[in-house]
Amino acid sequence: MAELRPDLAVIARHVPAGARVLDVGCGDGQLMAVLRDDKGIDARGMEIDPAEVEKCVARGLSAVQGDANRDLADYPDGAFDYAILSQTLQTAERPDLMLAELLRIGRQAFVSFPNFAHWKMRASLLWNGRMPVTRHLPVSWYETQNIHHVTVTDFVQLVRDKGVKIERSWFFSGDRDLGSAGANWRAEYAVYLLSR
Amino acid sequence: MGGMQALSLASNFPERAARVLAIATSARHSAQNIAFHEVGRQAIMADPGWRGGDYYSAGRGPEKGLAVARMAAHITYLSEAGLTDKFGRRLQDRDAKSFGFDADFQVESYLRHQGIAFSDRFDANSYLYITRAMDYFDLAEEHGGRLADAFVGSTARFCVISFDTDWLYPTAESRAVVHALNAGAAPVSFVELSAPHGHDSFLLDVPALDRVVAGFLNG
Repeated sequence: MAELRPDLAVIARHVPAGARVLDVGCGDGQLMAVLRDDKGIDARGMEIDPAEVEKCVARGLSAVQGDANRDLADYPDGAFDYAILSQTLQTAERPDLMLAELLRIGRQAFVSFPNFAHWKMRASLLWNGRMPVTRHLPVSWYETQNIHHVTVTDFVQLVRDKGVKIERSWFFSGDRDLGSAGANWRAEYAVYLLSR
Repeated sequence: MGGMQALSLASNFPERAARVLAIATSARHSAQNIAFHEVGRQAIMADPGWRGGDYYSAGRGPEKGLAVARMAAHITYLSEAGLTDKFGRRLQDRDAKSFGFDADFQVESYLRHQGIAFSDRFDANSYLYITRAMDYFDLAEEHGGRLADAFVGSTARFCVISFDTDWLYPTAESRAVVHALNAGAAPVSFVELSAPHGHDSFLLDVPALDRVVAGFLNG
């Protein structure tokens, strides 16, 4: 699992063998391949970019080209044990509705997202008055796909408002696992395991 | 039609299907599909050479009607952009319009050639029966109207592919198949490929198609 992004590695570690998994925004299928190779899981993926779907198919994975803003509706209730949404929530048209869809389709959901309240972001806005461009989020404001800038605190608030239960959480700066102390300042990104 | 046969086999003989590759197809014919086929059938049956289907002893059949049927069908295999790209409004072997009913335009000449070439190698009654079989095909109907039930018991992996310029079997038809397979938790991949040739993209040079098919068969 060494080559996996830390948030994906956390998810891969905590999905039990035999689970039914949907990876929403699966990209080229890196996580699905690890789940298959390490745990024998026959995961399903959804990805908007046909070139990425092609790579999944070429790896023998099952991926459906689709737009998570619309096409999650095609899956029946409780079709999966886990629905995974990694680094995609902030690009959703309506993150709250997407969250509801994830927990309709999956019994539990892994959600990871970049924390826009990380101290470097705050510093960039405070001292430079500019929208942050960081190593983790290297794209300028006008071309970024991140249209809903969410913080750790915002996310926890949303989840509470929706009556969703937080099972576990992980916080990272670069590759370093931080623990939860001061996460809204210190974490570059967060991973949550949620359940209905 | 090949895609329909593939879906049909996977449904009727699940134990014999390990991988199902359904390209530019549908689980049933739409009203528009049936409508185009009906134009073709009527063209054949309106040709006096058809003789109620009993033309084999007459030495010749309804070649003209069959050619017209093929011309209409051929249009549905192409895309508007593809036709424009290939022919535009260019004239055929002439510098000016004739203001008659000759094949002035290249696209007319092309279609006529397609029609005649087809009637040389295809039997008109076969055309009637095959188009009718496609029109009657409805995989959901055979399973109480629920397409998902058509694939219950299947252990095959599925790969469904559509083309963005295919208006004969548009992407929505492929998505309906994918939706049904998802409902049954079947392992399914789906991709809409971009190709300019309409429905015919499946048999023309589309490198992305080669990659997906090779990946699916080898992966």
